[in-house]
Amino acid sequence: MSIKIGINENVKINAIEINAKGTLEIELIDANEVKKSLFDASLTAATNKEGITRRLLFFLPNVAKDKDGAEAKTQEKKLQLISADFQRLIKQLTQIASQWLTTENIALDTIENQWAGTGVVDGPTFEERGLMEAVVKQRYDNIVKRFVDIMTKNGLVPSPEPIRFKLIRQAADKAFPTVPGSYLDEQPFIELMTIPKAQSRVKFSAYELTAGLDSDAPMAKDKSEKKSSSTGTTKETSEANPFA
Amino acid sequence: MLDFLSKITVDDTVDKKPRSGGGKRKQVTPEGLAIRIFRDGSLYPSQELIAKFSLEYSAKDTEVVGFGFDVVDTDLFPKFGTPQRLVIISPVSKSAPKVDLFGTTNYITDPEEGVVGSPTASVATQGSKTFGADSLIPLLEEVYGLKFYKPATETEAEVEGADFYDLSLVANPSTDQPWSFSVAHVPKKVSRGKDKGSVTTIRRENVSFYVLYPATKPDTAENDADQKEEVTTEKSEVTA
Repeated sequence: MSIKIGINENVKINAIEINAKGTLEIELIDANEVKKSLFDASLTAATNKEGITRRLLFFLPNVAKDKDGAEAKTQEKKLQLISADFQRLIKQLTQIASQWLTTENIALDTIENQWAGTGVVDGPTFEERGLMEAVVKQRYDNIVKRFVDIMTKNGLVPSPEPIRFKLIRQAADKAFPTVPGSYLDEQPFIELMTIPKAQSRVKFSAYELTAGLDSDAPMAKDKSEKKSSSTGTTKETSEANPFA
Repeated sequence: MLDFLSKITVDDTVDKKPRSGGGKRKQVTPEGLAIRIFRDGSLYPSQELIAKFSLEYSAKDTEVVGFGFDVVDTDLFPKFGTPQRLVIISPVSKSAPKVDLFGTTNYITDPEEGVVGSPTASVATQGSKTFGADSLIPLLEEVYGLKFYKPATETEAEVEGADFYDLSLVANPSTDQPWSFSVAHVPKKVSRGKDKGSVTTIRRENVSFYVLYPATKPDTAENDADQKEEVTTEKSEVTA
């Protein structure tokens, strides 16, 4: 089974790490497969199954830049945009961890866990410093490092049990599997396989179906105006083609 | 895994015959950690249960809200590993969504009726019927073979059975503690809307489950003859 756009059943989180560029990576694997070492995989190169793993990247949110010719965004607007990006990141990671951990033990959004070392302690300091590159980077590092910490220290990597994981198309013109980023409370993207299919809440929303976000099929250009709900936060890297 | 259930000892001295409180008033309060369910679906917790799980209703808008219960069919909840189907029950804050038992009440709004904001009923005597009638009785009948009396109607014959059962909360006898989960996705039936009747899940944290087990068993053929005269007399006195 290859991990792709759709509702992937019986997968596991095989690895969670912060890569050399400081970006959080989560590797999914087909729970029925055993990942071989690179050397072992070389000995069966001709018959290795492709797509049994999928690497998901959770990028550092970018401070919105003014485009040439476009109306300059206000400070307030930029703060709103960066806040929305971080909220999406925190909700995505919290939803993953919440399959096994309580809210109290996750706590990615507390002031101690999120804003440590940034100099941001309240609203005024957020407005003053919230768009600084170093602050954005530190905030991101705090969140992802805590996520890696709580998942690994609680024995959740690799996943102790199989999960159901929804990946959607990144955009109409980008058939990359990506993690949903909107309405996650109402439309979760992950749950344990111990929840029977009949009770599953991991489903494609009406919007996602209408926009074709449930499919990796080539889409007509006239749909390129539609946007995915998680643009810019994740990027697919297939193990079969790491340079994709 | 639950072979211990054969060793469960419940208070078998409870009279197997339905009781009447005299006249038309139901005797609603069971003993021990128990819930009494009548054939009309009304449910009454014991005083011990009320105290142990803070089931009593508080004044409106108070910070201390108390607890109700989730009720679960283990057939819908594979995470609770059991070799035989059971009904399990878990205390949950009344402020949580989709609380099955003792979750909600009405409040006094007219000063002439009492202190505004006070609950209109005590959890001990509220006797809500909806969940009991619609969900719990069918579940108990299916899982434990309980038989509730049903009077004859125009279309259906009379069904012999009990006017009520007492249901005990049973912890793990190996530990005297309930079975606990840090995180559990509890199955819930959708009660409204286009998906009514389907089963969804709701996430709960730090949940503890007890087995909800009948303290009295369905009347058997061996004791039917002894109880028949008394049951017939008492049925006429019990108000549904």
